[in-house]
Amino acid sequence: MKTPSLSSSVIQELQAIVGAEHVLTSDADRICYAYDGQRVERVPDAVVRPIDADQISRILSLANAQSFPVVPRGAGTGLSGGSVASSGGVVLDVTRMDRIIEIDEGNQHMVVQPGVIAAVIASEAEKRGLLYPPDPGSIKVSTIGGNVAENAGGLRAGKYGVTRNYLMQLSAVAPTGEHLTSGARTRKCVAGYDLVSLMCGSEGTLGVITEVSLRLVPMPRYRKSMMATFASAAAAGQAVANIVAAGVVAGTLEIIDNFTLRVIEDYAHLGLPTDAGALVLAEFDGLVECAVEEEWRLGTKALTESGALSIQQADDAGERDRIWQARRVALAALSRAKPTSILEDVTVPLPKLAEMIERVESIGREQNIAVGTFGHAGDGNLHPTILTDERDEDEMKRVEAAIEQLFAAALELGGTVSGEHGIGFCKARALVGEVGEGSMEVMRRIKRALDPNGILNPGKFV
Amino acid sequence: MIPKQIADLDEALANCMKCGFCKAACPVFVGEETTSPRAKVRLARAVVRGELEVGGAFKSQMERCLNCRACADECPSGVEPNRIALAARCGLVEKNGLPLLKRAIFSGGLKHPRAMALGMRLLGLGQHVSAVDLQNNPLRYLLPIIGLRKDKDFPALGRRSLFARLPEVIEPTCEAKITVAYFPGCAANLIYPEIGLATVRVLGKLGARVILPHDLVCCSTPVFNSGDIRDARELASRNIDVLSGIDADFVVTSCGSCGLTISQEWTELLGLSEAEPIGRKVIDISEFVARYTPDGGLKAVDDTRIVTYHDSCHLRRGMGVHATPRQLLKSALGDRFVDMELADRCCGGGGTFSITHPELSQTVADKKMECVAMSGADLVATGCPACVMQLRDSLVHKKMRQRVIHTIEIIDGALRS
Repeated sequence: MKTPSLSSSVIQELQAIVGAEHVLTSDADRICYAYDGQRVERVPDAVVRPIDADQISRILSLANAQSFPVVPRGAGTGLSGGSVASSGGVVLDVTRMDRIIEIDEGNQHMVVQPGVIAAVIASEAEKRGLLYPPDPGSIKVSTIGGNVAENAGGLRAGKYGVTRNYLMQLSAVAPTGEHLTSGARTRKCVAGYDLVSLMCGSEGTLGVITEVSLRLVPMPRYRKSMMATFASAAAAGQAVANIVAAGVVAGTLEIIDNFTLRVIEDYAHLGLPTDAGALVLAEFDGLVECAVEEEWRLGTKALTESGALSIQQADDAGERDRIWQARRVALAALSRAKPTSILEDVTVPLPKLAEMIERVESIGREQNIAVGTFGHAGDGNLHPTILTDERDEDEMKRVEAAIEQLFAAALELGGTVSGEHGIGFCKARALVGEVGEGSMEVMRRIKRALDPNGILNPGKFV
Repeated sequence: MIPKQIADLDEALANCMKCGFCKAACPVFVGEETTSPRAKVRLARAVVRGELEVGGAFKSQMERCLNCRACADECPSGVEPNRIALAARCGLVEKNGLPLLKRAIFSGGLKHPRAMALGMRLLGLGQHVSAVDLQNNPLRYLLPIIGLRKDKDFPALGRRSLFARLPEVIEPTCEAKITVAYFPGCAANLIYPEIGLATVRVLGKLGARVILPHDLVCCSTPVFNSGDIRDARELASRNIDVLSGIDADFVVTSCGSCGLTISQEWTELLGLSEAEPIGRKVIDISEFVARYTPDGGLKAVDDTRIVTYHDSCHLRRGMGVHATPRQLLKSALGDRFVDMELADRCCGGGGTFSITHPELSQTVADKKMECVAMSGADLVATGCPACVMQLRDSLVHKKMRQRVIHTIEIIDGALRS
């Protein structure tokens, strides 16, 4: 392991800012802050755990003065390396800042610090009859700071949108140490540049988020789910596109291909139709029962007309739970099948969904690797999951090639290389292909303007 | 040198995709990544790869585990971080040996139950003769020196053991329909004999002839949890010898940890294949009651107290017993049974963990106490004497009014003879 390159005087200054017990420098600690949810690891020189925005500001000022990188980190569950210190330096762990500051039921907002776990926000909202819709797969552990920095999505994005859509106001510390606040706890705000949007999805490269005010919505009172089988994944993808085109908005609209379906059944024994080419799972939700019924009816009609082989409706909570259990265990089932699973998140416009699914299948065949696809089909977001063993070097080469091909296919179909996981360092090269050199130059200028010394999360996509 | 138990885990280590989902479940994860189950896996991997010395930091993280299995339940990839930490502890003990006190207890006291019973009687006699008031003793001011809280609740020692109170064969009150061996474990024998007595009474009411072999020793849970596989094997083997000689339909347990260890760990962890036929016969007392109580056999208990239930980790996640005790309590109590939030969260006892990590154990228990308080219950029922001990201590510490008993004590009162 690399010896830390931070001088002892810098460590002492960091200790003076946050307290000695909140600066971690042991080998064991550094190893534990070297990773997130993807494979590539980089050991930082130290970990610092501030308690407020002032401490963060002082840490960043010190970093500028002493030229060392600072990498913000929440729970470290990201899938693109956003919180990994790609060129050493200090990992700035915000999880001590985990207070809920205010919940306003009248204005339907919640003010939280960055270290609050997303599921806690959702459950506090639920206790008050409100919904915080973004629900990334990591919701039980990931922090809101990380969710905002990565603009996390989830299963409800087709109807409810993503994290950005629920940000009313945001406070952050700029890379050079200034405190900034943008937006307002209002439903509209056009005061100045939209720094909320600039920070959201910036992956910790433009500022350290210190407080967010989140918008909440009324909790749907009625839900109705169904599961439909199709002859192929492409047919299922087309059916999903047809539902949306028919003007029906499902709360959740998911797809599971045959490979994933069989792995799920092997793992969880839910009595799923393993001979089906693919499943479409849909849930319609809303405040008014007859509206939900009508959406459900129109959705069923669209699926039938799209060639559904069977449609099973969930009439009660138990049946509904059984249907969604299949989706919930998808990742677990896939990751148990092989030691290494690589979860991608290519996203395409809905009319291209069926074609993208076919491309994924043919790439898997061509590279002779196992790929299971499931995902948030209703928003064009697929999770092709490559099952492999990272100790198998030869196969890993084919896996890398397959990922390149997946990205190329998504772009060719007018989509994006990342719907919800972010770019980090994992997809930095693919990003250039997506946005072009001109856009990259603008991003680099923004980065330089905010972070002239390049101390905040360097080595990522900008 | 890499301890063998860690190096053997290569496959399990490779399966961890570092998603971090385990962090949501772990009761001893306190925000610092290093304290998470995922970190334990990563640190073990670091040792295997030679990135990290097997030093103090590694040791202290591996020892910082209640073996509550919550992380294993949460893991999408089937990795068992608790198991990896346990393997690491075993490797460390093999390399460095056990601390003196543990060594004395594990390879001395636990293997000589009669001597231990006598020792505890003498301690108890000492308490009695010197009229020591356990709760208001000035000696309590010395407890912080050994890292324990001043108000630490000690169970009364020196009570007559279950083995001293009951013969080795207890005939049922009605005609014998079935023969069972009862494995009370150390707690229901030496510390809380009332749990053992209630269990035997219930078995009798249900027509079971109970064999209570007085040669049984500790099941070995605290021993292997401390990383001492050798002494654990010896204890298990002695129990296997005793139990193999008994022609019983079931081996009944009233402790989640004993039940899990006999049914699974003797074979899986300690590698004693001869334990398998015994393991298959293990049944928790609540499951036994559910299976053998005739319809309407449980009458409503004449008591107005509200009761909630705490899941023993080893009973729930180890033996898969969680619905049955609740159903029994509902039958006996009706609406007076209430489920509490996070009922399946560890109480922080973890056997010797509460002694080796008193502050952390208390932090975990505090969370449990909040849930107990919010439930509105007067009484907490649980299926494991080790949880009883921890919960009672925490209630004393928090100056809370609630009482704790073993589920079977309620069932005993509700079961018609």
